[in-house]
Parts: sequence; C-alpha cells; structure tokens
Amino acid sequence: MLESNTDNPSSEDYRRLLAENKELKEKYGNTVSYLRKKIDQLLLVMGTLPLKPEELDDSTLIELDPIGIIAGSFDQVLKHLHTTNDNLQIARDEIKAIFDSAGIGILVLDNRMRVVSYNKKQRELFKTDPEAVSGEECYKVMCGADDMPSVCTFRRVMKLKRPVHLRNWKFNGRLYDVAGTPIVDKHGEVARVVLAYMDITDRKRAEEELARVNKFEAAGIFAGGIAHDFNNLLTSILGNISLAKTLVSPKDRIAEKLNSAESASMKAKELTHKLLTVAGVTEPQKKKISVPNLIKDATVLAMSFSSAVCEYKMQDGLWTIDADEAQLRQVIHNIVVNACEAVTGNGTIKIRAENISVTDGDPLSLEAGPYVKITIEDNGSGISEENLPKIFDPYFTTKGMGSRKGRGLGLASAFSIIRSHSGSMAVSSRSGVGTVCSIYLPADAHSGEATDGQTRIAGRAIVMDDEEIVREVAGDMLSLIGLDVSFALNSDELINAYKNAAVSGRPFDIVIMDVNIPEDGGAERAISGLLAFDPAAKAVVSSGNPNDKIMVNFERYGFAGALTKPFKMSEITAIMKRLGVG
Amino acid sequence: MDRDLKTIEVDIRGQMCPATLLVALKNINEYGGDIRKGSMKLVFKTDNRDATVTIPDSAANMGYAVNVEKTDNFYSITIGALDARE
Ligand SMILES: Nc1ncnc2c1ncn2[C@@H]1O[C@H](COP(=O)(O)OP(=O)(O)OP(=O)(O)O)[C@@H](O)[C@H]1O
Ligand SMILES: [Mg+2]
Repeated sequence: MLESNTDNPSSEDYRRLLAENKELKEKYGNTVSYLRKKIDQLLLVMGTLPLKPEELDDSTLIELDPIGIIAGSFDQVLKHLHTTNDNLQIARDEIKAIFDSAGIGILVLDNRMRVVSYNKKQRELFKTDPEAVSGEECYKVMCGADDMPSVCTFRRVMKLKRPVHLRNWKFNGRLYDVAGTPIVDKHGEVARVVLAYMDITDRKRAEEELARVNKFEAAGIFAGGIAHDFNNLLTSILGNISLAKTLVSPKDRIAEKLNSAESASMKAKELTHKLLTVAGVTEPQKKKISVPNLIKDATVLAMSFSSAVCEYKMQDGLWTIDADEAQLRQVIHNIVVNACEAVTGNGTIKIRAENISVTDGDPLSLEAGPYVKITIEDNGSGISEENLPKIFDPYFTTKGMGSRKGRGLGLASAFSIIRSHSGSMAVSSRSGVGTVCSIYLPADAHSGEATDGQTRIAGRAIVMDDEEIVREVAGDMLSLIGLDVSFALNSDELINAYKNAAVSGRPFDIVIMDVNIPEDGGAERAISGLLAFDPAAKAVVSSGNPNDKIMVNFERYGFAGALTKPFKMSEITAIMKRLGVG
Repeated sequence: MDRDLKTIEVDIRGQMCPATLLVALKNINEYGGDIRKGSMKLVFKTDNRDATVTIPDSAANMGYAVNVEKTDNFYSITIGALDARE
C-alpha cells in the first residue's frame, strides 16, 4: 500500500518510513521465527513432532496462543508424572513388603553373579552375615565357598536364558527347591537373575514319615492276618510236643530232640507276638508311667550282655506319659540292644529324657502339645546314608543270618508301638560316628513329677496276699518308703484288721490286695466288705497278670488303683502319691 | 462403559484448522478434568497423517488412553481415561 503513494510530498519522510517499516518487518519476522522455533522446541520436549510452517501462517500462529496451550498441556504432563510417581512408589513399597515377608528366600543377582539384593528369609536360610555387602559374588556371600557350587541354578539360567527349576538342592544339611528366573533387558541379554529358595526339608521328612506309615499299614494287614493262625498252629505244636515228652523217659535222646523242638517253637511264638505288635493288633494297655524308671529298668536288662557304658541324663520334673509299660519297655530294649550291637570296645550309650513342647507345623507330623523326648545315642558304627531310609522296614537287617541275631524287626516294632501311642520316632546317623534315636511321646504337662529319688511317705498300709514271698517283698518295699506295714492272709483277716485299726484311732491309709486268693471269694468279696465298712477306703488291687479283668477295670470294682506284680518301687511310689497317701 | 459416555467430537479436517495439534491440545486442556474422571471422551476427526502420531503421543504423555481408527477418508482419534484409576 505504501509503495503506491509515491507522490507523497516529503520523499525524505517517505524513505525514512520505508526504512523503519522494513526494519519492523524484519523484527516481526525474527520474533515469529523465534516463536516458531521455541514452540517446536516445546513440542519436542513434550515428545511430539514440530509444527510444519505450511500448517500455520504467522498471524494465526499468534492468535492461537500456542505457548498458552503448550503450557496447559505441560501442566497436565507434570500432573500425570506425579501420579505415576506416586503409583510407582506404592508399587515399590508393595514389592518390598512382599519381598521381605515372603516365606521363601529371594536372591537377586546381576549377570556376573554378584549379589544385588536379597530378602530377610534368604538371610535366615543361608545365615548370611547381615553386614555382607551387595556386589560380592553369590557363592562367597551365600554359600561361603571359594568357588561356584557344582550344581548352580544361576549358571543354568545364564546358559538357557529361561526360567529353571532345580529340585532337592542340598545345602548345609537342608533340602531346597530352587527357582531361577532371568530378567532380560531390551537387547535380549540377561541383566538379572532372580533366585527363589524354598526350604523343603521338613516337608520331605513329613512325606517320608507318611510313606513309612503307609508301608506299615500294608505290612500290618499282612502280618496280622497270618500271625493269628500261625499262633494257633504253634499252640497245637507245643501241646503235642509236651504230650510226646510225657511218653518218653526224660533221659531218652528223643526227649532231648523234643526239648529243642519245644524251645524253637517258643521262639516262633515270641516272633508271632512281635509280628502282632508290628501289625498293631495288640492295643496298648495305657497307664501313667514315670519315664526315668522305665528307661533304667529296660536299659539295664538290655545291656546285661554288653560291655558298653551307659550315661543317663533325665530332666528334673519330667512329665509323666500315658503308655503301655510292657510295650514301651520293649521299645527301649530294642533300641538299646541295637546300640549295644553297634558299639565296640569303649562304647558309650547316652540316654536323655526331657520335656518338650511341640508347636504346629512340626516336621515329625506330631500334634501340637507337650511331649517327653527320649534320646538314645551311641558312638557305634552308624548307619550308611543308603540304609537309613530302610531301617524301619520290617525284616530289614544288616546283621548276619547265621546267629540268633538280626530278624530286622527291632525298629519296626518299636516304630509301630510308638505310633500306637500317638508318638513319633526318628533316627539320624552318620557312618562311623554313631547313631541318635529320638522318641517323642505325648505327655501330661501338669504332672511335673517330682525327682526320681525315693520320697518318704508316712502312713499305714496293709497287704493281703496268700504268698509269703509277696508279703515279704511288698512289706520291705513299703517300709523302705516309710510306711508302717501290716499283713493279712485272706479277706476276713483283712477286714478285721482294718476295722480294729480304725477303732483304735490308727486307721490304714492304704490297702493292697491280691486279685485272687483261692477259696476266699477273691478281691471282689474283700473290696465289697471293705467299702461296706468304709466307703472312703483306698484299696489297690494287684496281680501278676495285667490283663486280668479286675486289673483292667479296677475302678469299676471299687479299687483306687492296680499294681502289677512283681512290684516296682517306682510304681508303688507313684500310686501312693496319686492317692495322696502320706 | 463406553456406550453412554458423553462424547465431544472435534472436526479438524481440511483447511479450517491450520494447526491440528495445537487445536487438539487446546481441547484436551479444556476437557482434561472430565476425561480423567472418566465422565467423557474426546474424538478428533482429522485427515492429517502427522496428527495420528503427534496427538496420541502428547495425550499419552499427559496420561490419557488414546485410540486411533481409520475411516474411509479420515482418522478418528479418541481420547479417554486410562483404565487403571489414577
Ligand atoms: N544303633 C545303631 N547303630 C547302627 N546300626 C543300627 C542301629 N540301630 C539299627 N541299626 C541298623 O538298622 C537295622 C535294623 O535294625 P532292627 O533293630 O530293626 O533290626 P536288627 O537289629 O537287625 O534285628 P532285630 O532287632 O530284629 O534283632 C540293623 O540291622 C542295623 O543295620
Ligand atoms: Mg535290633
């Protein structure tokens, strides 16, 4: 427009204006191109393409307020980044919480086997020095070794570049399932390896225990089935042998042969009995038992032909257990005999008994609760790793067939007895070092039995028995613990003595009577007479046969307890204590 | 959940809109709050091929879900809320 007004009066002014105008145009052009440049720069920062000049003419560009728009967009980008960051932080905390609380050990390595991080469980499993710094090779920090282990999950992951699962990896006497997972970077290279260690030692043990129990059930059904018939046949054989013996003179050589046949048949009968125990056919006859006495009794007998020495360590205040005494004695016997057979020369057998509390999730598949743990340890030949899983199998033996030894039923029946007492049994051993056999039996935690030493009891007792030797022995024992003892030969004598004592103001605190005195009406008559006079009378029935119906159901007959003959000091004391005598 | 969502369509085809991206950004800025809440979405119709890159890129950086569809002779770029609640 300006160019057309050439006839402007002042050409001076005109030129000046023209120059100014040109200058302004240039400046405007610069500003706009500056703006375009900066807008493009901002768009690039936002992560998108620059504007194309043909898309936008200069004036529209300004009108559009591009910087304002981009500023608004930036605001949104920033807000989004913030939320993303917050979410990331939460995700990180989440992962860290999972990492730390996981019940499996987690170890993260870089691709040169150096430790990046590991969780708390991993530290516990590998007993890692809490000071141990990351950045060291895994085998140094975790395994405490100078070299890579021969079986190494890390190496396999690196080689295969895919997840690897290693079962039953052994480390420090424990068993692990190891899962290794590679983390691959964007170039497809392994950047990290995540290793997860699951300690399966306890689960494995429980599984083995279960398998063993199953095996026993099968063996039991089999053994139980034939043992009964077998026993009957043997009874008939034995009967016929003793009949045959009456038909020949004892000096005859036939009698000699019959005698050996008889003793072999007796052994066969014993064996049948063992089989029945393995089969779990004989129900345990349970009663309260003081463990230390039983252990000592059984051990002394089992060691009678051994030169090994035995050391006992019984916890004070050991709980009592509910168990079948004869069966438990058998268990201790079998284990101690094994120990004696395993040691040579200066063999030592250490026997311990202690109270323990089993909590849930115990590897021995025991229910939670109080237990008495008996440990029998020897320094004998030990058991090879190969044989260890088999020792509880019926008929497994390493002892030669020639001698009378080695039927392979000792541990099998011990195990079966312990199971029928809801207990558990475990053997650990090292070849050439020795063997440790542990037994767990449910205990009565409230018993807190007093020390083993004889406690003295004051009071009066009367013993009714028709056998003099029994009266004598019982009298000695009872006086030994402090009781004043009188005797009766039959029910009438007993009841008379009891009445007189009561009348004279020195009543009997306890009555011990034989279950069956011939021609006397037996214990049933005696107890009813006694209770008729004194309903609070404390009477204990005794017999050589623990399976006698009155012995088994003594309470139903009005007795306060039952004692098996021959009497044992420990049992007498226990029963007195239980009845509050003295 | 798309069905009954309030949708605003912005037609930036042809010469009417010289700076497709800037116009799109301006709209996103304006409706951003509602889009994020998930109560509405924006649909841009464009015949500019570059815009099918620039608009989704920027929207993604701002934290939106973007979907590009090609119809006969133009593109529809839909801007909505991300699935995961922010
Ligand atoms: N304390 C021990 N030390 C070394 N080996 C043992 C020990 N206890 C058991 N064993 C091994 O376990 C096997 C099985 O023991 P188990 O008591 O069941 O049978 P046995 O002793 O061979 O025969 P049995 O007890 O019937 O006479 C033994 O043959 C022996 O190899
Ligand atoms: Mg044995």
